[in-house]
Amino acid sequence: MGNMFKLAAILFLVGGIAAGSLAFFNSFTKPAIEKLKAETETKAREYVLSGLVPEDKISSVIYEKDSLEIQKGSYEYFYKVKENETALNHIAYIFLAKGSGFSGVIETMVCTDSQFKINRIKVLKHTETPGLGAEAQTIKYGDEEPFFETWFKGKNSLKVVVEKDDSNSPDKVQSLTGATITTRAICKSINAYTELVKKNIENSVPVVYVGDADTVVSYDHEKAMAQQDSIRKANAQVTEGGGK
Amino acid sequence: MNFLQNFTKGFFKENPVFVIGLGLCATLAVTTSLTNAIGMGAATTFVLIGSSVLVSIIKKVTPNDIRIPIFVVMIATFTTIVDLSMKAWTPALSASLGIFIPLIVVNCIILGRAEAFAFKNTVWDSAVDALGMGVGFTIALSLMSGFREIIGSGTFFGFPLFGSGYKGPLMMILPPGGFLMLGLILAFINWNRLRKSNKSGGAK
Repeated sequence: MGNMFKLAAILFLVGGIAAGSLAFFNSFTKPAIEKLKAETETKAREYVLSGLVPEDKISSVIYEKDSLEIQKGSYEYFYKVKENETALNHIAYIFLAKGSGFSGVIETMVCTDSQFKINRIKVLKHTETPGLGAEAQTIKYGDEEPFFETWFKGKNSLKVVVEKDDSNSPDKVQSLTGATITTRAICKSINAYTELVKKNIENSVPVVYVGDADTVVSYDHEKAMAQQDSIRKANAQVTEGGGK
Repeated sequence: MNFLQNFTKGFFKENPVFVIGLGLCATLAVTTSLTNAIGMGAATTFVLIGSSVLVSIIKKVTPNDIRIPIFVVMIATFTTIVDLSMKAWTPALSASLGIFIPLIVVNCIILGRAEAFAFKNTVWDSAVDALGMGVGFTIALSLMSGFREIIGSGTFFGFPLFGSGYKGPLMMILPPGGFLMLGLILAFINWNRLRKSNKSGGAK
């Protein structure tokens, strides 16, 4: 009996030492991992936006972060892009579409214009089979961007579909050789997320501008957002009341 | 056992994959490209050396009854360190190896060496043995993935070999190709060994 406690104590000690050394090591890698993640996201955002916004203005666009309700109670976010502070309309939407591929979740960053025409997509994360599904990220020798991603340019992101599923659609894309499942998963995830973005935009209240509507002199972002928030809240109360 | 024998036995004579037959799961799964093979080999070698050395250091104070759980905790710690470092400093490799890095924990080569060698030998010998076995594992992975990548995708370390029109048998980079390639290599090694022993008088 005494021996048993001794063994348990030793195991406990070993576990403690292991956890301690991992915590110590984690303090070095965690900032690096987070920095890398943020950098990757910023780069990907500028990449998918390029072409829609002139090269020299990409770094000065305004990203408005908004949330998407994926399931009840679970939120992800997307960006509404404006050319600058004073611009009235959003020129693009950027979202990260997630869907299950052949062997895991595929994350694709998508940029559409305000009419949901795809500007560019970028497959950020996947665990697909090398040589098949993984070709979605492959840049062919001599090319500048992955050939797969170029297929999506100009398609309607609500309707984009694999050629095998609907060969008559103007928004069809070819499937990757031997990886129809991967291609289909990416198309479907883009469709689904675009629906959510569309719903969000249709339900949101137009931005209220400070000053005379005809002669917008200054635009106070903070103030406008606050105003918009209060209107949204009032609307929500109205709909809740109506529901009862 | 002299130093050189101890170091090089893992390369071919006691190759962990082709002769001892350990770690086949990872071998079959990650050998779809050479980059993967080298990365996986390096990661496994690091874990192997770390755990072998540590096992050898603490072998005198380790209670025999719970040595396996202690080994496993140690191996898991080293594996997590590799996983975190790869995520932080080689994100591309980390993304392509995916789940197989955390799975190094259950790679039987590592527990096998800890149990069969490091627990009975000196620290220095264990380190050399681990390095040799790690290199042997990397050789095996590279051999497998070299053939699979060249035949299946027509590339070598990602560079196209046969021009853009090449459409290889895709099966080679899919799971069945892994089994086929492993079978072919094992068959060749055994054929070679039999041929040699027949030449030298035929012991069997």
